[in-house]
Amino acid sequence: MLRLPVSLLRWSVFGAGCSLLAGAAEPLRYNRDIRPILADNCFSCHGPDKANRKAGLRLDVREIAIGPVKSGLTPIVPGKTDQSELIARIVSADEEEVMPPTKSHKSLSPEQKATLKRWIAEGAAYEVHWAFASFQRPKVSGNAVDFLVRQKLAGTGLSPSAPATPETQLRRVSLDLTGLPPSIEEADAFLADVKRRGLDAAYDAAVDRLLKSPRHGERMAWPWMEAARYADTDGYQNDGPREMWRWRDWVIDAYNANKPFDQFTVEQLAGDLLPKPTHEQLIATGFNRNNRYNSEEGIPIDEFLLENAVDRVDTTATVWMGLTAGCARCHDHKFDPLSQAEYYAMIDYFNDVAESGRATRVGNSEPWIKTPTSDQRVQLAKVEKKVAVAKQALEQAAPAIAEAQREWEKGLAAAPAPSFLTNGLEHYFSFDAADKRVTAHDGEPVLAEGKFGTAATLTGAGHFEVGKIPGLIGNGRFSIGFWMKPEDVAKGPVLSNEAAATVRAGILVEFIDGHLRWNINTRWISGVSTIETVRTFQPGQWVHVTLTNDGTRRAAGMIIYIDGEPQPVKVIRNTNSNVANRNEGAPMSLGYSKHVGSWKGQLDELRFYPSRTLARDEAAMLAEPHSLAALATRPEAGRTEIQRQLLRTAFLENAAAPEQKALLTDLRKAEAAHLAFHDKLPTTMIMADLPEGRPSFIRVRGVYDQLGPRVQPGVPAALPSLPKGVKNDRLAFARWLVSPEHPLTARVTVNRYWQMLFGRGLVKTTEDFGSQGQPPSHPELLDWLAADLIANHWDLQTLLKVIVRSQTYRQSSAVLPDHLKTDPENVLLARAPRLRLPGNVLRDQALFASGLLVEKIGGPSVFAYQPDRLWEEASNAKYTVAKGEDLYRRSLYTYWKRTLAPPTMAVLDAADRENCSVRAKSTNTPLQALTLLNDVIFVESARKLAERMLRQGGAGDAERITFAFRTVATRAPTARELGLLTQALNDYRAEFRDQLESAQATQNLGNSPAAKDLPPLELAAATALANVLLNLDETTTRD
Amino acid sequence: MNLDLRHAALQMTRRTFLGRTSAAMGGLALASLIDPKVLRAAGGLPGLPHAQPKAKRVIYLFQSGGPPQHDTFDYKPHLDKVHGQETPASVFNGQRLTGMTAGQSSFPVARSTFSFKQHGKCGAWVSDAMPHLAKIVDDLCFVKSMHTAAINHDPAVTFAQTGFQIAGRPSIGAWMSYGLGSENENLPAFVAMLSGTGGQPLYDRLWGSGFLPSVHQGVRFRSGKDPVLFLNNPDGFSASLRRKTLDHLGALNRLRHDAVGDPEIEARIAQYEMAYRMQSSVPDLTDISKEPESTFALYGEDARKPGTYAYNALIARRLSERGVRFVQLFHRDWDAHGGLPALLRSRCKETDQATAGLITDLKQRGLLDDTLVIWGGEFGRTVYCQGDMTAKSYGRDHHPRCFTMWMAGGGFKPGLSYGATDDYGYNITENPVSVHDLHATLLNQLGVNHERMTYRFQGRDYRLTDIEGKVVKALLA
Repeated sequence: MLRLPVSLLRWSVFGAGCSLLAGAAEPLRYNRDIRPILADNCFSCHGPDKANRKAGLRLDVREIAIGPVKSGLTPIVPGKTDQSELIARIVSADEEEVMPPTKSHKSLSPEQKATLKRWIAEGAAYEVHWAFASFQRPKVSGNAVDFLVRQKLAGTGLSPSAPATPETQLRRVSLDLTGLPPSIEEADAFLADVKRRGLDAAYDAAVDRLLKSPRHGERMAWPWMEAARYADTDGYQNDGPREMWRWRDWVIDAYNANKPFDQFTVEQLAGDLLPKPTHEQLIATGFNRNNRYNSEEGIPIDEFLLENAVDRVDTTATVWMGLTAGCARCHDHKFDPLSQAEYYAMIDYFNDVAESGRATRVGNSEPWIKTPTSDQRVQLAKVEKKVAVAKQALEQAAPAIAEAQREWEKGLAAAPAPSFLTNGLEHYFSFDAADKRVTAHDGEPVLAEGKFGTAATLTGAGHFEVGKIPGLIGNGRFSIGFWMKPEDVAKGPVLSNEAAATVRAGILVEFIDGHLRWNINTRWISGVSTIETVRTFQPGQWVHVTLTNDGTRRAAGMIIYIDGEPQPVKVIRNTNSNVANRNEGAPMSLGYSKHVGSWKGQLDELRFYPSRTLARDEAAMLAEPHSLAALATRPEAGRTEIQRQLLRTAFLENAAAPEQKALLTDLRKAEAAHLAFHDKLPTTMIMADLPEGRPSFIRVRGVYDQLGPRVQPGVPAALPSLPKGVKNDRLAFARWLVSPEHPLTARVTVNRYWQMLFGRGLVKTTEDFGSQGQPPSHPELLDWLAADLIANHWDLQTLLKVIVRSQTYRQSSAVLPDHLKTDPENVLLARAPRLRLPGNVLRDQALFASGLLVEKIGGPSVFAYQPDRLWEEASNAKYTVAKGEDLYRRSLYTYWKRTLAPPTMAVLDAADRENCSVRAKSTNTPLQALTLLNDVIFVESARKLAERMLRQGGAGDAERITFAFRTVATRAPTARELGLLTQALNDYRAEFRDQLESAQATQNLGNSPAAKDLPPLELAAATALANVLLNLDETTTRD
Repeated sequence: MNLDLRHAALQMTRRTFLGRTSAAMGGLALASLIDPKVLRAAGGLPGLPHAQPKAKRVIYLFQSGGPPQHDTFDYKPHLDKVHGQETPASVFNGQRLTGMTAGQSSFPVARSTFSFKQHGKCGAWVSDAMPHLAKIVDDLCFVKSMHTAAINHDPAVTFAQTGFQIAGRPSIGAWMSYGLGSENENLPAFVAMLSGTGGQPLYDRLWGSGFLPSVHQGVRFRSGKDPVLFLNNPDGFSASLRRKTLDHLGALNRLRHDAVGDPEIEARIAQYEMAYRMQSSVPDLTDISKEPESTFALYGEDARKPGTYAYNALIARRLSERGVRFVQLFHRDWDAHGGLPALLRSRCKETDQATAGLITDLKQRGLLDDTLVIWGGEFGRTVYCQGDMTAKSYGRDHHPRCFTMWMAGGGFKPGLSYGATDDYGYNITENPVSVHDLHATLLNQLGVNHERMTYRFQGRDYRLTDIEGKVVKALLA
């Protein structure tokens, strides 16, 4: 019943590829009329993909299509349909012969066959695909949007609509530019301005005001988050948390600062490669670290190194070029000029990230940097200053200390050896005497002559245990120091507190083929960081070993010092991902591990600092081979700097006068405070490449372990080439994207902002500007906007201004019968579109109307309301709803768990953030109705709007209802609407009259306190009314 | 507005359920007037089903984590002889292992500690882990030769659900909703229910709509006050108050419609009315107080407890009775890397009786003929032991090369055991069936040619079976 008019409409107005568009006199155009037919039906087998090409025939390149193929026949003979094999085959009645083949389930309509015939008869002219062709700014007069939209509208029987009312214009542009409606005060000021200066001037001023509002950056950031697949978790399997909000805030700031789009691009794609990149430019590169990460134990590392690079290329290609590059991962692109080799050439730009392939389960995966906010930087400077002050105080006291120290040194030889470096030293084993903490197991290990006194001596017959040493975990700072004389360097565990279970939580220090290897393990094998010294060791020699960990769970946070020198190491594993409990691990074994066997050698002077990362000079002091007594006998001038420091530290710790000791204590306190602050600073994953890079190969059929030929980085041949003489790296690629010659970037960019303002792009397929995408509805307008953007140095606010100031944007959205008849989809823009507000805006608007909204830019994501146990039923994660103002932040800041998205947003068509999404979805379902009616955030907003109505709405129902109505809809209600709403309010009063308990229950919805001073029945009735107002079609729509 | 068009649109609304209407009347509907692809989203695609369907609906009992085939259905007596010995290199044949056991120095064969018997007329082997299921084997069609492409949970479960290892494609149920629509206008076409704790997490994308319009995503039915999110009125809002607010809302929206003429407003009014109807139809669905005692004898006492697998199985039957096209249960924690016997006993205790009860119940009600029930996980498990092996316990790692699934009803051949694996239950020796094949066969039973139900996204026509899949005719009655 519906299908007949559909097909009529399709062929009579503006269906893509509709040959009837070209009048009989006008020749057919390849891009408009022919390519869509060939692409849909022929190119899979006779197009760019050489692997799947049949019969050696290619129809996408004219030179080839007009020559003979293997069979000797010629597919297209320009001007001669009867000699063109293509025509013979498409009209053939023979099942074996006909094209497209029956089994392809594709077929040509009689109209399409006629079009192809006519095109060949007309000479079979080809065109470069429109999106790959260069563009110029068409000449226009007046506002280009209006000029070009009206040009297209002329002759369709439709004409532009009248301007929308001032209220509608203000609400529309406020929602579009800031994501929030105007307040009543803003509306009043605007209307007064309209009276004073006229609508146009007032409107222009409002636009300027809105663009300057910090809300603008927040609003613009939302679609960028969806494009950039930003989330607060990793996305795969356990979907652990990550920390990328500093990048999100960078985007907000960039939009608020109106950062030109070319800079916006270069900094996000390659900020790390800029000369001396700033902190902010590094944060910007988080864009391509927002991809999903897999931390699953069993994954092949190479598979996910590839997936990471694939996601980066696919996202970058979609966002900047509108290219479905991913199609070329497995084979040459079937429709667009992108070969598989070219795809992997682009992969090579994004394939060098110094990442491990397996992500950490909890927290950011390397590479990342500490990214304090500006406030935190101020704080940081303060705590650093305190350290400097304390150091200075100690230095000033140096002469006095030195004098006392000399006296102390004189007595050292006679006294028992004093302790030293005791700061944070919680466990110390000298192995010089029986020690009940040291126990023998599986045999009789002995204490034999060692480095200082006797040492723990492992002969293969049994091992020692020294008890539990809590705190030796990846996410904690700790250090271990000891002297070691290995007998066995080929293999064997030196130290281990690995738990017996297969997850082996604990640390392991072991020899592997002469190298010393150190694991910090929370979950074998996915949660381990392992480093190994490059150097090898000789048996029978004493060396001092210090191991330090900085609590960041990275291999880079682990250092092995040998004799006080930090060692070059190889990173074997770098996925110590779990947040471990300080009590994890078994008792510490010397020379034994359940999992790797036993070891022979000696250990002496074993020290554990379970909450400190020793500094380099401290490691050097521990490695001092001479006793303090021996050092004290040396003349001061003959001591090394480390020896001087060692004696000074030992003196201050042991024997200094209280006021001198206090100076040391003050310094340590200041240092501890500095570290504590430093350790809590937010981090951000950034792009940082391996210095040596990572080779890229074509992957046969896109499979990670099927390596084809190696490729070098490069851009697709169908697009402009890189400038000569530049280093061919990711920075060059980013600059190439925003070079003025690039035919895609500016078009794709203006189209995305057009879509933001009109609900659909000039190119409807925002994500696909290739030949399978839809051609632009207004090609000249698209090109004008693109050219203008470039001419204005990529100034986005100028672009937005041109559009929102146009009459096209400002016209009425009322739908007339002619509109529905001629242009139901509103492609021609004879009216403004009415758009269902996205979920995030609906939530923000409700908070705004209720006065609950807490406006604060940036910061860690917050845990908005969500139904109880939604995470727990599906995952091992627990959701704890925020308290206080975090509940009422803009939706941009809601914590986004990728595998279980915030339900209110998911129901209301938000992108899932699993991968790049640039096309807005809009649906209309009863689940949405239930959400807007019943979700606590909307009913709490209704309750608070009701309070505002009673407190600020004036006296009497009519005034109050008008106040509430204007709050959500900007305009005042009509008399009929007011009548209906007054009746409604009375009905609700009647409902609650004998239901005091119910009335009170409505005032406990949500966490904000109930208004005790207002009459409960009135409040309840007003709450019901506000619930209706927040659900009005007009409220939930951008008119 | 063109009256004919408007009439047509309204007609469609009456025939559609829930989300479908958005496409029937909304902005999307208008889009659909010139874009047949969107139009089809209304109530299934025109021209579908392609053939007379054998099954009208599906209940997919997804056992998440990878149930062990050696300990359930794929009986391997040879393992008793080689227990504890190294798995021969000829069996591995150079295939990849997961990163978890690839570093293991030894791969000893672990026999099953469960005892196997043949059951029913068909003589299917079932271990004593599933005593209830063993009684109904003559209703089941076993495929011993399932295989998959992925070796780790996330890619494998995503592959099993969407035909592709990476997130972004629609799930099976979403494809069915898109292609076939719903038979009940007050309930969704696709319902997902979760049970179990621990083990592998589940993700929205497993019942998501991918690039299809979001109206096709599975609606997650939950236990507790709101089986569907935000179903209930806020505290203090009585049903009569809600009715009044909806009446006022409707009246105001109609005024708006008169003023601005946008047919989308009518669609919105209709959605609010449907939401109101759902507020009664869903509680009616989940009200099991009138189920006779015999129901609980069949499904087990757990079926009284919302949130359990047994309860979900019972709700699945009630949904199928009401014409819901695709119901999928997800039960967690079959991932037995260690301590397999205890873990498997627990999972079977939670699921065995209810699974068998569901099949029996459907059969008794005459629903099994046109309801297809599918049981299985994302992959199988290794013959060799992962981690510690003791007399009573062992673990098994992920194994994509073979695993067992079974189907019941929906035109599948009852009592059949199809496909075979080698003596180690490691490689398929006969009649391999891929995940794509399973999807193709499933769609075939619904009357859908899997190559012809497509959706264009980013310039490409996508389908559930990607570029593969063949209908396994041998499985069909």
